[in-house]
Amino acid sequence: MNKRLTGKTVLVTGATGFIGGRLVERLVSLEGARVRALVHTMGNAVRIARLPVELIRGDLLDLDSLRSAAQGCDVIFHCAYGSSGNDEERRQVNVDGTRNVLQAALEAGVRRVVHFSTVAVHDVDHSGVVDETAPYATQGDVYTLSKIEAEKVVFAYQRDNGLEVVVLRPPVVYGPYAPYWTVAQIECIKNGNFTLVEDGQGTCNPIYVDDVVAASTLAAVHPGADGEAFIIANNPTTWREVFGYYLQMVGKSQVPNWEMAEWQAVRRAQRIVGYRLGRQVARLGSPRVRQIARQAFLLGKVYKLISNSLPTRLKRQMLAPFERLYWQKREPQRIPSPAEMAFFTARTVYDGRKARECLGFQPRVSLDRGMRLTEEWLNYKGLL
Amino acid sequence: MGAKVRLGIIGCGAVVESYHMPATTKIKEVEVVALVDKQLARAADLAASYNVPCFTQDYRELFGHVDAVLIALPHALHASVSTAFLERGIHVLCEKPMATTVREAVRMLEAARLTQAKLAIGMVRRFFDNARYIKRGLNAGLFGPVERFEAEDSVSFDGADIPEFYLRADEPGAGVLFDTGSHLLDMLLWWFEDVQQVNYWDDNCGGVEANCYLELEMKSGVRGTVELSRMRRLNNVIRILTQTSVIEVPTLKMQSLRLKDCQLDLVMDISIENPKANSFDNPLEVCFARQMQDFVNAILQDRSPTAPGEDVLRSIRLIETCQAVRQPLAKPEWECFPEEEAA
Repeated sequence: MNKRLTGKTVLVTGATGFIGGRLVERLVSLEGARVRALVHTMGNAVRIARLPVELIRGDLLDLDSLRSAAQGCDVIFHCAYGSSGNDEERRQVNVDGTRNVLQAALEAGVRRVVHFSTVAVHDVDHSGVVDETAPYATQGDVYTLSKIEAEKVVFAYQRDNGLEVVVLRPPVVYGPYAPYWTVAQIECIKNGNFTLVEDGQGTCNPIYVDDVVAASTLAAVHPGADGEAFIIANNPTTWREVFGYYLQMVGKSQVPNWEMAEWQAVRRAQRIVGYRLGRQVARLGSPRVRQIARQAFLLGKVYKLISNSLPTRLKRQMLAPFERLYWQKREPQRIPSPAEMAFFTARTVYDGRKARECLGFQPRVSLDRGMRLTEEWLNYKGLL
Repeated sequence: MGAKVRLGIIGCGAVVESYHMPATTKIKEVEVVALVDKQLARAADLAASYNVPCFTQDYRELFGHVDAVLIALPHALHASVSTAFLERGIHVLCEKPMATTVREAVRMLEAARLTQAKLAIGMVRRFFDNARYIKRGLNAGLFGPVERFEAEDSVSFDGADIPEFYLRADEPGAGVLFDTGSHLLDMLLWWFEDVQQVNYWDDNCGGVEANCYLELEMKSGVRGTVELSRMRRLNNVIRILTQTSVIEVPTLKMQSLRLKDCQLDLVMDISIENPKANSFDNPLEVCFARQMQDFVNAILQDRSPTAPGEDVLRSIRLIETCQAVRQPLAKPEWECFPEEEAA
């Protein structure tokens, strides 16, 4: 517990979200802070509204709303990020929104801004130990690239304006309300869309949400944290172990698996015959994939000929036998994207030593306990 | 009063736009003559859509120009605005909850009594086909003696841009007990009559409760439980357990029932046919139209509405009792922090 936040006024952006919501709960019930919650959609605030929290309607892209929310605050925890809309809209929220938060903080005389980022900002070689000194990634999806851009804005505000900032980079955050690493995975397993990659032997760096929010409160007050970035990590394990908990919760023991060689064969088939037929090939499953990939070349030519030269209705009738030919009575197997293959086969370990040594952060929740609590929550929400 | 009731509508939010306004177009004895909303543009838009001649921001401008009003304002304003109209002899259909305290509700009733104005409360679920059938069945003893009931009702606001008053701790009547609870508790009191004993738990930690749990013992001796939530999906059903059967009444589907006969080990899903509902786009609209027709009939025929204020007062009294005997709901383990557990 960190009593140095007791009585302080703090603003939490993204307060109705997964990490922000849990942080609000901690700040009120454990830290004794006076909490303002920036709320974009009021209906999402039901959970935090149970606490003595000031709900303030606002938008990261509306600087005036942030200015009034930041007035009189000691610390801002910036958890919000662009989770919806097209790429440009998400980038805008992540980058311009972060700039607005920092500007509002600067104008209001806020002492420190704790910015939630991600380990995805690091350029990694997928095999080694990565710490905060690893360079930024040079390519990635809009989330990764905009989070990098946002971090640069954060450090620029510290450098140019003297605003105290701390950047936190958690890896795979799971637990109650985790939209991606808990809820989406459970849904995926339940609807048969889940696949392991290389039998789940890649490295996963899971951390329970309570540990992340605990680290953020340390970052908010530690004198040596200004201008620093911290990886907030717990013990690494395999994806097999992490997903094994979810599979057990859902009651599934057998799930499809993609070996790299098979995946590469299907990708080759897709390049030759197109995405649609490639998907059908993939549905045949692993043992025959390579053989089918070779046959697919010829069939693909016929398929393409038909599909390019006939009216739609006739085309559907003529293609039906091909569809049936490639369909077996088994669950369709989703083909992971190249980025997913790289991610789930990586052996990257994120090193949380700096947060331990500088902030005194020590994760408290083991994977086993975290997953047990997560299962209780999933049951409570009726998601299992 | 002429052949038509001149109606003013105070508050032009979602429930008015989606249900009350369409309902008024189905009732020939009513004419909406004025709309009131703090956001004038909202009142103007709705007035343009329904050819309502007058719209304004100030409800007091309606005094002397309307026979009746529908009050659909934030919960905390229901009583004061209703009372202002009742005192002038203007009939009131007030959205639920009737009031946020018993004292306010009694003042409304007193004003209605003095001027002989009708006071109906928007307990629209009393107009659901399944609820009406259960009421008749219980009164007639169709199901035999009831042993207990179990009610659970949830509403999700996820992704919805709801008005702030639903979540403001300083706003009376903000939590799930007043919001969803006023419907459900009114239904139980309508069916099973008065409460003798109540135990109540909720998860309000200095804000507004999102989950609550009640244990009730009715004066008839029937016991029951009620669970309400804004945070998780419940079954949204009232289960009535008798010696030989279980009747399941969905709280949000108005035309179905499930009957389990425990002796014959049979489950019967009953679908209620109502030809009169066919002219409505949304099944809920028919209930709002029935409610408005009931209110208008009460005015024109000088009789009591289906959900009169003096009857609904009981649910406000029950809610107030809940607040008085409140105990904190036990936190689930996943809501406790590791440090709390260590302590």
